[in-house]
Amino acid sequence: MNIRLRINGKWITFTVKPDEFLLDTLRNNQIISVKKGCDGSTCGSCTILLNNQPVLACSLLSVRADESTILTVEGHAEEVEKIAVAFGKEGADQCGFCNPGMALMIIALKQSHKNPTDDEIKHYMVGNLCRCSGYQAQFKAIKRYLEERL
Amino acid sequence: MQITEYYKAATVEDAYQRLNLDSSNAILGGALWLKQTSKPIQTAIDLSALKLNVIKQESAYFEIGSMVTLSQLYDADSLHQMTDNLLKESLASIMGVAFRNMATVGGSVIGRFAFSDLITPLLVLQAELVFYHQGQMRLTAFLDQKKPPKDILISVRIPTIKGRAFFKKVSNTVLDFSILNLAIFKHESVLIGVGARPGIGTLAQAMMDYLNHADKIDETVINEAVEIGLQTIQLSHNQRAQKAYRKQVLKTYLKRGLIEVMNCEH
Repeated sequence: MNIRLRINGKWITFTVKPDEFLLDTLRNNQIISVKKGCDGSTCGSCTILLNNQPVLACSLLSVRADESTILTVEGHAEEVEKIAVAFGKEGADQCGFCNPGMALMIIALKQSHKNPTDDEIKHYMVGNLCRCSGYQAQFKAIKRYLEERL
Repeated sequence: MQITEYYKAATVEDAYQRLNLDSSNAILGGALWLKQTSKPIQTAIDLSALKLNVIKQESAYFEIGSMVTLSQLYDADSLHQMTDNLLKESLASIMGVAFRNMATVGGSVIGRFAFSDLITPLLVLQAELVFYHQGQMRLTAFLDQKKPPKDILISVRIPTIKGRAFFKKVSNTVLDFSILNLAIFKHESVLIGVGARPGIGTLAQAMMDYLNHADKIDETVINEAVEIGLQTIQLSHNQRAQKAYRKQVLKTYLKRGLIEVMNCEH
């Protein structure tokens, strides 16, 4: 089947199987910032923005995304750079595998919450796992990024 | 997991006809747990074009379309005001935002997942299911069926009854499936639901009968009710917890929840 996706501002046509998931479609076409972690709806590494909403690419059938707008970190380079700086300043970065998914969740958080409380930040980010850092430094980095963006 | 054909239904009748063409045809809900299934699907039927993703408030009930996502339901403030945030609290405990943006109410109900944190509160809210062919059916009756009907779930109806509520999910980690979940809803009578026993959610009928026929509610009556609950609610073990542990957890939270919703002094 042919589907058409607007990825980071550019319309691209893909030929996909009925049981192909968007994560594989993207990664097989060199969009490899979208990470394959648990591949089972749990870790958040494969988070993308689908029509501006964060979703898990590992569990979205590619055919269901037909004619949708998709943003990955490549499409948000300027914001992602600022998030990276905040992560660096707070020592929140280790292996970096979870960072693309986390960065997109932070962007979505900023869009949906004007001035999120600590609890709202934690609640929003709970689906993005990190197996290196223990979350405290990342939490501080998110707060730093949001405060600097206000 | 294998899907031979994908089909986007144009109408509910179209979806129903296609579903019943072949026993291995299936409806796609949020499809979050699709990868965990091994049964091949001949035709996966997508309902996303049928406008079933709407929550409506009628005078007697809230009508929640089967394709409403858990995030949409989480944001349904008027429903949460009526139910003392029962559904909101249960939804908040289900994975993360990205997951809830995809998971649907219909998929969560039709899947009849034993670990479901949504079915238990729906039970105590006396939810009814509206099927395209079979019409209206109580959630309890649906869960009692050995095999779910080969039908299209149109919506879930929740009666507009205001009450006090308690919800508790117990799990080993925040994102893990429940070891046990408990929902209590009190209006004129009290309803108590227990899920992830590890069996699917069920109403604690004997306990409810005892409480709803008691002349007064005090700590002695609650203690007696909890004992009835522990004797009659079927618990078991799985890889997440032993039966004895579930029983202790249930005892603690049944008492705590009842004291909270019954407005008793401890």
